Amino acid sequence: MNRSRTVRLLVGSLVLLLAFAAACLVIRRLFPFPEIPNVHAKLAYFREHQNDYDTLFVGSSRINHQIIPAMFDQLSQTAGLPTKSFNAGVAGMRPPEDAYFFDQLLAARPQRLRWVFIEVNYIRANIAEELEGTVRAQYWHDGPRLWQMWQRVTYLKPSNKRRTLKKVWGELREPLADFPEHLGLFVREMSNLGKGDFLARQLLHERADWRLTLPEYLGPGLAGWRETGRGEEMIPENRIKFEKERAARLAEPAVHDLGDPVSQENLETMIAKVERLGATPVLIVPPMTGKKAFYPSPERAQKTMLLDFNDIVRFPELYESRHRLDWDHLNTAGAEIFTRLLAEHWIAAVKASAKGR
Amino acid sequence: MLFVQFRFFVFFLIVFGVHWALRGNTSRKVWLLLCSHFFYACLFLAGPDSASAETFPPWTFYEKLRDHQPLPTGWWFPFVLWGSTIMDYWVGLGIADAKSDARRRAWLLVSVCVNLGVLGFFKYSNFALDSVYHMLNWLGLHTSKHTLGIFLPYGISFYTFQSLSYSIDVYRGRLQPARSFLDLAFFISFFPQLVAGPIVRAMTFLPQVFVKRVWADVNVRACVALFFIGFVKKACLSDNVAPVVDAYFAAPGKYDLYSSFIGILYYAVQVYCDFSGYTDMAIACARLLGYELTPNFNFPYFSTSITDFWRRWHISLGTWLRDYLYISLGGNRGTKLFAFRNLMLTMLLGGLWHGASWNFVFWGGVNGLALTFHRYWETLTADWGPGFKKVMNWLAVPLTFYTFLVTLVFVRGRDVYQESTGKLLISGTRAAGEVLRAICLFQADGKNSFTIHCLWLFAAIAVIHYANYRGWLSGWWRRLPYWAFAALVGIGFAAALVFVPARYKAFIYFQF
Repeated sequence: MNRSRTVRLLVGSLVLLLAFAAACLVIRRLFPFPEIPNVHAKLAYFREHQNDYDTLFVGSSRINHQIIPAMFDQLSQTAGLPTKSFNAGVAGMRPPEDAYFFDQLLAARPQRLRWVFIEVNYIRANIAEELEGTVRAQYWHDGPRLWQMWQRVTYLKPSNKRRTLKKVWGELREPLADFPEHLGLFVREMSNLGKGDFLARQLLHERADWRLTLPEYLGPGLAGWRETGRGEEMIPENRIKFEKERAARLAEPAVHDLGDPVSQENLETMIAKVERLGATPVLIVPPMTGKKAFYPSPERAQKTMLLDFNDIVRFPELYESRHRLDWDHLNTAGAEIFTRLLAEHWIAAVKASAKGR
Repeated sequence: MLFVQFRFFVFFLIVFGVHWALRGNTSRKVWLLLCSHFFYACLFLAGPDSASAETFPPWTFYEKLRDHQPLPTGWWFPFVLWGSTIMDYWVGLGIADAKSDARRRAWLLVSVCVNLGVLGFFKYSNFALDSVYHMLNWLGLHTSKHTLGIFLPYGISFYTFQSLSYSIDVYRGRLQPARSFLDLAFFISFFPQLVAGPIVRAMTFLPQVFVKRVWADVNVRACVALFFIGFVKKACLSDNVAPVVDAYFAAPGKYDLYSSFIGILYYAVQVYCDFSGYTDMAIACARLLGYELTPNFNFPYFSTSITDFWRRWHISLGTWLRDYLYISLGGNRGTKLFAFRNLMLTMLLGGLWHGASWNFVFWGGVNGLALTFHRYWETLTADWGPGFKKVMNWLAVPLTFYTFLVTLVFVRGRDVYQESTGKLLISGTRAAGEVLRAICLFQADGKNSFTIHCLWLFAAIAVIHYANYRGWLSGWWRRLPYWAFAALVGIGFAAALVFVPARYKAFIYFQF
């Protein structure tokens, strides 16, 4: 290869890459939050009304469909702890997506926020199949989240035995296989790929006003809770698995799993952000039937209010099949019971802590 | 792995870097051959529209082999490619070494029969069975429907024609046979043109393979610009207008007249941008590696007649059909009826090449008739006055484009099924009928309408395309300092990526 041409090629490539990166950064700053169903509606509405609320619920469908803000506010009002709450839970939202979404929610520093209820959960290494190739799978892949995913997929459980290279590979092979997808999504997100898609759609079709979709995603009173849309009765296939797991939990309670340090760190980061805002974090473990469930570290559980409903003995009504849709989710009747129990336990905990002081 | 995916950029950077770092011509060819097969493997193992980044096809393939899981559908596709290459290698040597004309003809016959037989088996057997079934039912002989579980190997229509061109050119004495199998294998499987053309002829490509490529001959700036243009055409234009086209062709009767024209105009934009975008990127990649491919498009929408159109649209196929089929059939020699028969046969087979269904045959037929009509029209109007010629100068381009739009209805005239349920939404015949009624008779009773923005967007695309046709856009960027050009391309790519749909769409011509 001709040397001067090669040098020019290398310099040109470098300039191209730098210009590309700089332009991507500028475009990223200019672009609004993508119009992802549910996620965008919740975020946009909350940002517009952030100073109307003092209580926020964040998490997955177990928050979105199971905590009714109006009912919670009524119960807290009756107990003398008036709140105005917003359910920012989104179906399928697990760490680290929740942390990113949380950052977006709190980006404009809501002034009145006093209580933030956070569902605790593991970091999910894989992308849910139904989200593959969607903006929903992509939008939260920023630098910190990619780093978290890397730490998560390369995490090795502590072991007393000495590991051979083969064993290390055996343990890491499966989680590592998920990383290229995250890397790809990170590149797509950082290069703003697909972000103009909605602009093109609006150009070609009638412009849809996202405000019109609010009742669909935010439910009655636009407080964030809505029914699952899956009916109110458990389908037979779900019932079989649910009954089996329910029986297993009656025989043996779920293991309190601390998961991996990356998931704990994710939770810690969210808690720290809440505290920086001057609000109080409250951790929730919703009622599920799995063999093990993610719990915060004992040190964290001591420092922060933890409302644990993942106990079939203490909360049998939450595990009655007429209140459930499957092993992880409650129906509307179950959601009402769960909201009531959540409010009662929270009120009791707040009052107890006030007395303690 | 598509040209518009990030993974392709990474792949190409590695291919490019190693290719030019290698010193010997043979080592470069071996490298490119390996890369071409890797590229092909990524396609047939993951599917051309695999948008997911998680699947690294060769790794997934290895895992499936290891775990004794069913292999991906196309695991045997390379064997067809290799089979075709090995056969044509032997045929080439056989023709060159044959002592008599009869033997040479026999070798050629082997190549033609095997190549077309393989193509026919994979591409047309289900079509033939289906047609026989319908014919028998139409005759009142009710039979049950049978189809073979055959998958069409990617790129078979393209590489079969390339292989054939090699055998025929060797037979015609226009080309020395490749003595090295590597040369022929490299020519047939060179990745930029492997799956969707352009159909490069052995005569054009093989001489390049024999000579070591020189880095100094590569015009990097022109290649990068061409790749960028192709990228924008495919990823930003074709894929973004696709939803409008899909919506329209799923229920053409529900749209008003304005939207019917938007639907068909956008389809013209989609097809052109998709295929010419692919070709631009293929040519640019090949040039960056030092090889020249056949041009495939020359502003076909500015053609002044349908004959002119076929000289500008899918040029590599058009000239292939002309040189290897039309001329072999006798071409223009003989009576007018004989020439008409040759033209019709060529166009019908050309239509069938595009797809194994009657709508493509019909499309070929309509084009054949249009070409014949134009031929006689030219004879008829040859002596007409300058006034007529002046009027025709103005009308020629829009009339040709309009004719193309009408023929395009047959290309798209396929059954549309609901994605979720698989229920038939509209049959291809009915859809074509409704579209033709709208664009030929100007009758459309539907209430649905696309936004006026569609018209503005189309106008913008048309203006840019016209400016490019007139050469107004091609000069200024050549004068920029190299670093400014690089920065401009970087910014251009960043801006273009914004308009790339989140889910990649396979190139339309992959299905052919």
